Amino acid sequence: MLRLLLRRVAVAAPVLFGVTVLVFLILHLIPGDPAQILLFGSRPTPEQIEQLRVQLGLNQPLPLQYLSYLGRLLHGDLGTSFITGRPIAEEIAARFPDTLQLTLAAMFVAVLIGVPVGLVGGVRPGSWADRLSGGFSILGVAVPYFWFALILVLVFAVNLHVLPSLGEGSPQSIILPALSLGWGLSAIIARLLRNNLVEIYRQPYMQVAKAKGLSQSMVLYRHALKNALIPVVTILGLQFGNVLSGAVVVEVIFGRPGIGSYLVQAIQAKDIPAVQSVVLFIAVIYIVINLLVDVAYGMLDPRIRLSWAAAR
Amino acid sequence: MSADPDVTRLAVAMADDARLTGVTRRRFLKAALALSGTAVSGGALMSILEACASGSNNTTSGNTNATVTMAVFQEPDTLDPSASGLITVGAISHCIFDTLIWDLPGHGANPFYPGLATSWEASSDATSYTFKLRKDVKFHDGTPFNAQAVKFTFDHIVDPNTKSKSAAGSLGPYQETQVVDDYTVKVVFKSANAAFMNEVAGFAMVSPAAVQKYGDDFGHNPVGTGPFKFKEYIVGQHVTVERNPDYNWGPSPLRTGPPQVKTIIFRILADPGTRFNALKTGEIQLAPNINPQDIQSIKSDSNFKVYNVDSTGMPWNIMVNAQKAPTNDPIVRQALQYATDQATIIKTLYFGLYTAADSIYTPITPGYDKATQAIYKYDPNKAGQLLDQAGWTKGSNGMRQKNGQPLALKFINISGFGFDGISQLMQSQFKDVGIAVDISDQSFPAVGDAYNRGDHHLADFFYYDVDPYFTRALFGCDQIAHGFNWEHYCNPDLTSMIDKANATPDNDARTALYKQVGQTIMQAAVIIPIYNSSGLFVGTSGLKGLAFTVNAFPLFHNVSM
Repeated sequence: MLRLLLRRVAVAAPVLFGVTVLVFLILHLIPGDPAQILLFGSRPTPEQIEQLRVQLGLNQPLPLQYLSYLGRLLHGDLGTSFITGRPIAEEIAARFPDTLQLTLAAMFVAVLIGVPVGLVGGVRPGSWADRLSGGFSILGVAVPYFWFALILVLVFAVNLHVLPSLGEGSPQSIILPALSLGWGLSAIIARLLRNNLVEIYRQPYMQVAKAKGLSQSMVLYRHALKNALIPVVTILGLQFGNVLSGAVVVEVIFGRPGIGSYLVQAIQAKDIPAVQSVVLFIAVIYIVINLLVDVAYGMLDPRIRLSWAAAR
Repeated sequence: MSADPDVTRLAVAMADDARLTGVTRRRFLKAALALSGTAVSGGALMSILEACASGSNNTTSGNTNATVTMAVFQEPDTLDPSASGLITVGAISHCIFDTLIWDLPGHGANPFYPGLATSWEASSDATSYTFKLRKDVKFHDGTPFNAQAVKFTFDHIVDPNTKSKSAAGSLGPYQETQVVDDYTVKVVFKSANAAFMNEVAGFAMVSPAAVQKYGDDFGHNPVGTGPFKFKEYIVGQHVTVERNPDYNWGPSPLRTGPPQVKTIIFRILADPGTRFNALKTGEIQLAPNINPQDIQSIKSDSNFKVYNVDSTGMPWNIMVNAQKAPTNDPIVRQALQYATDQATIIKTLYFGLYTAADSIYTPITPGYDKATQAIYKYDPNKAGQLLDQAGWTKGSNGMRQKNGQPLALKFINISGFGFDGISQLMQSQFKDVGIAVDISDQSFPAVGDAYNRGDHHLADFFYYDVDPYFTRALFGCDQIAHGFNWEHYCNPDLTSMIDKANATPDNDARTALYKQVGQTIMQAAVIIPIYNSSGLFVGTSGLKGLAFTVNAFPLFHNVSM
């Protein structure tokens, strides 16, 4: 098992390396002197610019600069926001819990809607319920979540006055952001679950189960659903990163605090160190989650573990 | 304390809150200007006003426990007004802090009112200013406000460790503050700085004890003398301030005593659509920067009130390169002026919310001269005649050329500055008279290099400031290579005229000089004014008594719900 974990980490490492290179290069791809860009707005004297160049190591060759950047990262130093002058690690730490909360709430909504809708379709393929469920899935995937968010606000907050338009301030304020963010994923889950169920119902062991005289619900819960849910769990894990990045837009639309709205503000304010660090942070989370899903999958399903072992 | 007749009249006028509009000084390119190292400020006032604590405006109406929520469109960089470079912080710091003088346009011919200073005087050479201070003022931390605090504030602004993004630039060639006695200070400049009397209304007085106590963290623990005390700042969410019950030194035209509402929450909402929805649901009561089309939709809705606050500074404009052919020909530049249809641009892009500009100054900026209105009026035929006269003749495709060279201009936009629509409409208007325009985009601040090099024929610009001395950085001969003279127009007489104006403490004489500056520049046709920008706020109709500073920062002294 440990070997398996190490193998997956070894695969993730080059990706992580690539991400740090790209993020490092952001500052150098922008036209102009990075020191001047970083000091922009603070009326720097030429001495101050030179001092910062030395401080940032900008007078060194690029590969050396990258190594020292990597060194700072390994020490948990994400740099200092050039707008607020505070450590970016602190800024992210202050905001990430809000983003995590929204992401988890959205995943919860996705399961809450996606599983029943998929079940309804999968149990009786071809029925009107199945067609309805199919329609829901197509709509869910086709409708952009930011547009859906705006519609939700217009209907439930502006017109009906039943929910707040802002995504922060009261317990019910999470409902609309979570719904708009989780809706697309719920459609994916519903479709996946439905197709899996249809497939599984055709399997010989299902016929055996039915022939044993098990009840409808017993067949569904004990045999069909258990197997059909495995890919759903995988998808949930793999989509976590997508939902997290979707939170960027949803946070802005609902005026919610979080790393998404922080990223947008940092981009608008040209707070380059902050943009670099948030991008890096999201990428790392993405990679780590995928790693965890891979490993968990291997632990849950012996066939996968064996196939990895065989590929060695 | 004598009763100024103006004040009585203004107290009446202010009951009509529709008239409580002020002047904006959202200095958008302020940071950029600060980079150039040029202090931009100016304005002289040699009057001595007495503090008038009229108690008549201290009646209370509405709910004294009310909470007002105002949206702000960006996260504060710091709540230390000496350090901040953001508009958002201005709105918040006017609650927490006071200034020596208030500049409240719309309140009489002389908009200056005593704040923490009861009287003030400029030296005849505009290099020093003496302020007499109130003796009954305390900071929120209980420490007294006095001459030491004023000195501390100005020294704090210029301290390199403060990393001032705006205040230090406004302060100009500051030398020192002399404590004459406990309640008298003299602010001294290295060179003439007549702009200071306009700029002084923007410097917030900070508690020296608190700055020393919190150090770098003062930006998260601001302490001033203002009508509201800082309560909390939750990063990414909001800043909350609460009534200062001891407040008794507010601006007389608004309210001298403690504010009527108990709490103000400044909610960070970056998206204009989000702010508009939250206004409609009643979750917030006031919001800046709402989209023009949304403003249009609620203009006649009695649940809302639109505040269109006039602003000082330079209109949104297009700078024309006076050194690069073919716009190095003044006749071609004049043709561009006649070919630009401001009214259509404003109607198409902004639903007519703004007024057409006709000068390098907005109409309420000192130095604005109605005479400039007559210089250019939209007239495509006249533009055509001028171009014919300059030798640019129309070819069979309707486009002009001279000696086989097409009349083509390079329009370089600053990405994300809101000039895209303007440049496209101008492109089509110029095409109508036979001028080809190629539009491209570059991001700020890199675009500054391109402008300084003179890659462009047409460039974007606008500027917010309380004093016309901003012209120095835009039109000085020494500002072409590194400053903001992006029109590459060098006229040594003009440069010395501006320098002379900033050394002239007499208000009328200064204004006359700045009028001449404006005339000269319009005659040279290096600026195509487009529209006079204004501060746009939308509030719910339940919100009463809102006023604005000269910088278009809302003042909550007399707000009730």
